[in-house]
Amino acid sequence: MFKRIITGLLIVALSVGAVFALRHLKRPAKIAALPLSLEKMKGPVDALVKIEVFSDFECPACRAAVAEEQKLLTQYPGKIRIVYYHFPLSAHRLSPLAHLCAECAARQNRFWTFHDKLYGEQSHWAILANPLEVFLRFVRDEGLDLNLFSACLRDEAVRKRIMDEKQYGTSLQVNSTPTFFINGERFIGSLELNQGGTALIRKILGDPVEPVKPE
Amino acid sequence: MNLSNQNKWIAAGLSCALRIFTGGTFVFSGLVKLLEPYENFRGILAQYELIPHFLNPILAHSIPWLEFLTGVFLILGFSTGLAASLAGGLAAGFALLLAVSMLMKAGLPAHCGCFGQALALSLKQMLVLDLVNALSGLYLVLKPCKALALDRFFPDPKGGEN
Repeated sequence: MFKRIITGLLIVALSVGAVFALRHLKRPAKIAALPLSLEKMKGPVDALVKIEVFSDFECPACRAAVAEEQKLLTQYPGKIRIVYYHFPLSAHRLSPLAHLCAECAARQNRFWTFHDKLYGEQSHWAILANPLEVFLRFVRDEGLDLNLFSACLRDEAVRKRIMDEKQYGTSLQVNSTPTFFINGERFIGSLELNQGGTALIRKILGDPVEPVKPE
Repeated sequence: MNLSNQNKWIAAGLSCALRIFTGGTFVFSGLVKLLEPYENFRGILAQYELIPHFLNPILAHSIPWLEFLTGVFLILGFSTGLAASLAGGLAAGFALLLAVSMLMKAGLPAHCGCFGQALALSLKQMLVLDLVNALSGLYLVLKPCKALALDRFFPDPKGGEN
């Protein structure tokens, strides 16, 4: 019996050691934080709470999370800064185009309204074979310069920026959307943002900070 | 070789194949989660409405280790009976959670998150795999595979071959 227990403990110790060694070997290379894109930031730059969002425009869970983000901004006015990062999932066929259009809207300082339109009408455009017409309607509705927008769509630097943001997320081991980092702490999905995330925000802002009740 | 011997060989072969299959599945499933930040699995668990929220951090820390170590014990054939009971119990629990969530149309993630992001199986595929592993665990408890098993080196306290 003694020999069996010792062998068992040895197997457990070796297995745990192997996992830690693999964790160390598989750690993704650290990428320096990207220069902030001011157009994709919401809230004061010096806000106490910084929420970094890695999101995909075709992902329904990300659409659900937008309402949670908005709720937080309303509940804690001036206390939260949201930074958006593109994270188009490879399983989503239309995501690359949606992210490209959003980045081009950002170049004309209309990222957030475009973002809201993309999520607001996600169920409509996500089932189309080619949603470019819908996106161009958003461009016209927003009064964006169509020539600049078209040139932007062809700009390789814009595609690279999107992929750089995704790569930055991958280096942080983001692999599902939406992933939030609230002052560096990770939360996945709108439910976690609503529960653990809100609790953390209250803690950062100092309990008992009562949120402003939405009207 | 008479029919009785042939059946014994088939049963032993099946038992060994199931031990490796279930052990391998559990090692893979546990390892991919252990190599990712634990919050990724916690986030998947949060999407199952049937799991009380306060349990998510505990489960996200413990399930991957339990899966991994159970799988290692099964592959090595060490304490096979205990490891098979654990594997069968875990798989049956996962299958029950999936089936009840699907029947009640309770909150479910798009994929189960059972293999981290390494392999995205649909919920139905995962339910089938869980049922196979649950039955495999039961079979291994009843007919443990003794070939290439560490259990052969330890006398069975009940006086059996293991």
